[in-house]
Amino acid sequence: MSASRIENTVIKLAVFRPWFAILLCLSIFGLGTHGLSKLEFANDIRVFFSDKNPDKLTLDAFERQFAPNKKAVVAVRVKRGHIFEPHNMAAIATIVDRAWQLPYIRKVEAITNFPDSDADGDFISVHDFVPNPYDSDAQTLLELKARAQDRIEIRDSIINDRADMTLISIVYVDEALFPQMTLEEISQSLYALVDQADAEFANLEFYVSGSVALNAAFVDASVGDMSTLVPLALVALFTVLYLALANLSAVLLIGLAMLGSAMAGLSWLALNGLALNVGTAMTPLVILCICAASAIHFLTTVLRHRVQTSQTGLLRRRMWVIAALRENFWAISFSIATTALGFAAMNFSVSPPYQQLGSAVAIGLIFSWLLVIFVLPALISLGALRGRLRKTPLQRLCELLSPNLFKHGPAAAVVLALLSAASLAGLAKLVVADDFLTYFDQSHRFRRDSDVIEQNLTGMRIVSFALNTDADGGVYDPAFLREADAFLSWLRQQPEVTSVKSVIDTLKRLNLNMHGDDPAFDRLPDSSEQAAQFMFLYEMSLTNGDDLSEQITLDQSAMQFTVLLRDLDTAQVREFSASTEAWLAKNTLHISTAPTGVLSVFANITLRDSLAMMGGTLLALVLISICMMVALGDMKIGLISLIPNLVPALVGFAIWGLTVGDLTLASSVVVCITFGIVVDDTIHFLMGYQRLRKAGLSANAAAQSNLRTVGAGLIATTLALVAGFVVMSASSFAVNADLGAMTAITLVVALLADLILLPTILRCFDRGSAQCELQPDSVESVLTGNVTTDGMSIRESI
Amino acid sequence: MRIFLSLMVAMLGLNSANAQTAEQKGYAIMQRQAQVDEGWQSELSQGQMVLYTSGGTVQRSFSAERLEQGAGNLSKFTFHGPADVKGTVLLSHSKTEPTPDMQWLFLPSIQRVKRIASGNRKGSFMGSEFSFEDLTGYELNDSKYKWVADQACPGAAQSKCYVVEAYPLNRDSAYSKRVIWVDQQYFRPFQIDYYNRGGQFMKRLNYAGYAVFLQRFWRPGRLTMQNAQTGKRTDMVWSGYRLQSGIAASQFEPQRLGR
Repeated sequence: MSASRIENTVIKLAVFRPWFAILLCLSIFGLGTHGLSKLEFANDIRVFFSDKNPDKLTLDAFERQFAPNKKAVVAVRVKRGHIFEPHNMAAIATIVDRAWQLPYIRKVEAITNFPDSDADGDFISVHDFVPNPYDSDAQTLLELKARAQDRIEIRDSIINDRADMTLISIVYVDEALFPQMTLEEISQSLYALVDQADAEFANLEFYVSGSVALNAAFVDASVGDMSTLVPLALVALFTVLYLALANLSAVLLIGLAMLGSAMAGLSWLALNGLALNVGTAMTPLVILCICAASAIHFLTTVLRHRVQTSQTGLLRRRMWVIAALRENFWAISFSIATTALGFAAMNFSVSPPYQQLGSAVAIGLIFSWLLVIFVLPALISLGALRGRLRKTPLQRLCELLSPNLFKHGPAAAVVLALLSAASLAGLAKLVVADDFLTYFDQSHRFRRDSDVIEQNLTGMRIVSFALNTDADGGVYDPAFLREADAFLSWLRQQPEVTSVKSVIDTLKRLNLNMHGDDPAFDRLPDSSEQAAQFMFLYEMSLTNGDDLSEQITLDQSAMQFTVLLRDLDTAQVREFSASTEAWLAKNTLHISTAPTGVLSVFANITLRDSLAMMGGTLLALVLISICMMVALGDMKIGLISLIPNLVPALVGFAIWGLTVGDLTLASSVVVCITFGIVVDDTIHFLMGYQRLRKAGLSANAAAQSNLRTVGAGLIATTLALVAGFVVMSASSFAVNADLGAMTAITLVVALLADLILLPTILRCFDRGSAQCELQPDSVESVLTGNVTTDGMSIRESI
Repeated sequence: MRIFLSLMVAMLGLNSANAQTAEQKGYAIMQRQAQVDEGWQSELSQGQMVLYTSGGTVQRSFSAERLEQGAGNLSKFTFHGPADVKGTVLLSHSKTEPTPDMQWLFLPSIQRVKRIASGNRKGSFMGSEFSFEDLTGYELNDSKYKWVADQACPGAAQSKCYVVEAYPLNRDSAYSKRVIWVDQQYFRPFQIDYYNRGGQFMKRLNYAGYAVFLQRFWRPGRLTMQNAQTGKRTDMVWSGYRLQSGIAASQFEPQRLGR
């Protein structure tokens, strides 16, 4: 089927078969409503980890070995005095006892019940660190304070050096066994307990962190983005639309298309059983912007024809619509296809939220194409477009701007090119920095509280090491224990390490106890039998029915170290990982391990994702460029178009480097996304340019005239998109905020490139002109001609 | 004669359920359970634990010796494997509340007997879902009781069970409550649910493979402890029971451990 036959079929369906369009519209909204009712929110930040991510697989293996559970930590700070004062200790014990009553609790660990051990000759006692927290006298507690500050297992992890802050860990049951257990219930009951204690104990302050608080913040961020950013974006988009069209009914028509396609994208997620997460929460916003942008092109053209013919009646209405469709059908189709391609390529990401966002937006865009190409024309032909005809503020701006743009175009192009080249220095300043703590801004209690805990007590960035021996009982081998001990000492010397939890300390303590607390025996046991037997005694003595499974595997072939790190970004986490591996390789024979944990997965996620996305981005670039060349039917212009398409992403990154510097996960997909969007403007600009050239204009005249006709549309669509993505950059979740900001920056650069660079390039290189035609022609004659209905006349198609 | 009289009293108590409170009935059931099992004098058995992990299973083996005493039973566990703990002996002298139990550990690696604090029996027994508290059993007056229902016995639907809640009097217990299913015919436990200090359901113990020894003493062949909070499970298989085999009381003296 030839291009014009497709065009004619579409026009027939859209303009002359309104029932088709209306049925289409109704089914889209019906399906959308059905899908929306099934929408849920994901409640674990680990949705960012896919099974294709090797770091995630390492973490899974680690968790199978040591089965760590969901945790919340509550830090208690004493405003005046310290925690080892009778009334403060009693208050802490009260809170610990209340925490035991929380739903789905497995255990509560605090300074009060930390397992301590003592010897009195051949009598051994494993007991709570504070045996009688409710009624201990001041003197006993002061002795305990000195003892706590002296113990490396407690200092800087359970209490701080001033002893005015202490950490209570609340460990939850395995959620896989309790399908009815919801994050909402456990986080609400936790915060309720904390808030009640806060009101009750005037001398205490409370700070909540841990994975439960992290995931609660994650849900808050998703819900917040959906419930505040989407309405904000709608306000911004409708403002831009009104500025661009100055016609309320046109704005409402576009609103209908926007709504339908956003609903379609969201329902695709819901119908595929994908719970909404902080990434896919952006789906409606992104679809709204892009749909608005493509609809603007169509409606601007319809309105322009309406001004030109300025008559009403069904036939007339059909004429404007057909003219506008002829002018825009291929440009809109190709631009939506390229944008959808860019988003679909996000499936190369190793972060499922991005795969889902990419697919959902691509699906939404297909529906936006149906709505803009079929439903809007049908509704307009039926008379949905009303209101007075007037020039839009944007058109005025464009008319004002375009002669100047044209006159000073070459100079501006040179300046722009130079600025772009200069800005590339910013690329060197880019640093990959993903930190799930700083992903959340200060509006989140999780972030504020975690910051306080980190500044006052201990690191909130946790990595774990599995020390495998590959032999049953191997962890008690003295040679292995010596190396593990050396590793432990080395870790504790590292400046970023605040504390390390390990059974090595327990073994030394037990060896001391077994030798009548003789300080000479504060060292590792001499034999594997001693180590195993001491640990047997210790494990059976633990309070609260606890075991050592979080420390040592049941077959005693592996132990773990839990390392708390303070105040370091992901680049430093990677350095830390590398230096531990290097140290282990150099200093140990039996131990080879790398850190794992949620932090470690995030530390590498941008690098891994960028690498994975490189293939996807490249494929998208190639496919989109092929689309461009097919759309333009011209290899040379297609190649020329690569310049304004590629430069913006590069300059966007460079500007990011100069201003922000830190790259988060967002950076891995931003090229893909922006490329698909950026080409839209180029497609519209170049197709307009070609149409004018076919109508007989010189490259020079066509470029100038095109600036006036398509320019307004370009400015309007870019404004709409930038407005949407700027709203997105207000997200409280850094990955979204960065994606919004980077996309917005890139789109502004792209607009400048299309308006300044592209016309100049065309004037220089199109159709073998020997020299650049830099003198403006008279274009008035061209504009009055019926350029837009070249080819078939309207009558023919009717 | 004394035993016979108390038996009579207990039987009467059980039969006139209407006249007693749930607490009294619960106590009477547990008292009866203690009484029907009186007279075994000594017991020898072999234990094998199978610990289920995500990566497979791990085994622990030991032999158990028990001595029946009026004021509280004596028990002794001697470990055979894993190799690193071979020869370790755990000795316990149960006492009725408020007197704390006594326990000792003989560690072959240092050839010493260590006395362990009485509360130190709540943790995991060799990494299993059992604690030493679960294994040494309870004296009748260590807990308060309450009868809650009569039900079919879990795992033995043809038998009828009493369901009794036990509240430990000992502050050192890891539990706030145990719910015990004992069958009405022989007073054998079929199931025990354990609730942690915070009152949450923690784990469930099931008894199976009962066999009778010396015509009147029922002993289980398999105990299965399923942790409801972690999903982990331990099977404990008992074999080689020898009752009234004449173990000397001196075998349970701490100073003789390891000799």
